[in-house]
Amino acid sequence: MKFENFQGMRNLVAAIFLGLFSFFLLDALVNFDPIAGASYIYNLKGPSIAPNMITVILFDWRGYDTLGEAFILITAVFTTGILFGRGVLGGDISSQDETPARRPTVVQKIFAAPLVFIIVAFGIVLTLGGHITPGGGFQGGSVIATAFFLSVVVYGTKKNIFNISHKGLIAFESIGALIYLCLGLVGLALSGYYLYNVGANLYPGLGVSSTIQSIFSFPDSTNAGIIPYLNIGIALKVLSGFCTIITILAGAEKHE
Amino acid sequence: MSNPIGVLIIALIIGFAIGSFIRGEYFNKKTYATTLALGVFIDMFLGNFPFYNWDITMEIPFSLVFISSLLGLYIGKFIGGR
Repeated sequence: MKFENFQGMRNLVAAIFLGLFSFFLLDALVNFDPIAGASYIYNLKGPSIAPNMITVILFDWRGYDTLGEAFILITAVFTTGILFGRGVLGGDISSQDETPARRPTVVQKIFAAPLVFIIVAFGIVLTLGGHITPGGGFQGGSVIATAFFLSVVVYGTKKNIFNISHKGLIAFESIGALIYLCLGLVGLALSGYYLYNVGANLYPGLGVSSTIQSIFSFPDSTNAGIIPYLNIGIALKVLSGFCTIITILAGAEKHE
Repeated sequence: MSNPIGVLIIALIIGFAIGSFIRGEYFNKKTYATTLALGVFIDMFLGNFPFYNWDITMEIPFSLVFISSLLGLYIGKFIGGR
């Protein structure tokens, strides 16, 4: 069979499946019947199956959500690397132009370096307050990555303010993902549920002395459990993932 | 009152880790002065964020975590910066 004929058949099959998908989607939307009082049931039962309300909201609703987001980010980094990564991951890097596309202005030169400090510090604040205030690891990591983006835009890929290699970014990303996944395993080991918030904190299970526990306990009257540490792990992961994407996109080369 | 020293130490460590990757060639007296001025300005506006201290009788007018992370960035840049 010629390719043109096969392509026509493929379009026909795709159209049939699209029609089926559209029918079922419309049917689901028209006949959508929300369970009355689902949030009340969740609020009533939530604290009895999880240590506290913070766990119910932040962990049950956002823990797995963040895990999925992390995997989406990994896929995004892979896709960006495959599509645009030839300039950074392959090819002749020595022939690349190390200067940015446009030379930085005086204002950019003066304000870029201080702003990088301020943005990174603010990103850390967002990360460490994510369990009790709007923020969290994903947001904090994104904010810190904007500092890297700013320095790449102003000073170029090779000589930006952050002196970190592609391998270093990969190491950071791996460490962040490992922190997240291992903390999930802690929940699995202690409660039987993956990513379960073990409640009080990690230290009693690890045999850490009470003095160190009192120093490193996150100040929170309702006790956030492992969520602050999940935030730190996801911040590292998101930060290095976005930085990798920025590096790849900034170093992308056109190949005929 | 809760004890926020653990958060401050972790902020210092993360700041140090990121600061140790910062190049020194773009920093001089002007940029340090600008950083300090901007830092104080933003820190005052952040206020008690992210509200670790829930005791409203003892309100801290500036963000200790922000100061700690900024300090960690400075130390990391001076000790481990390239």
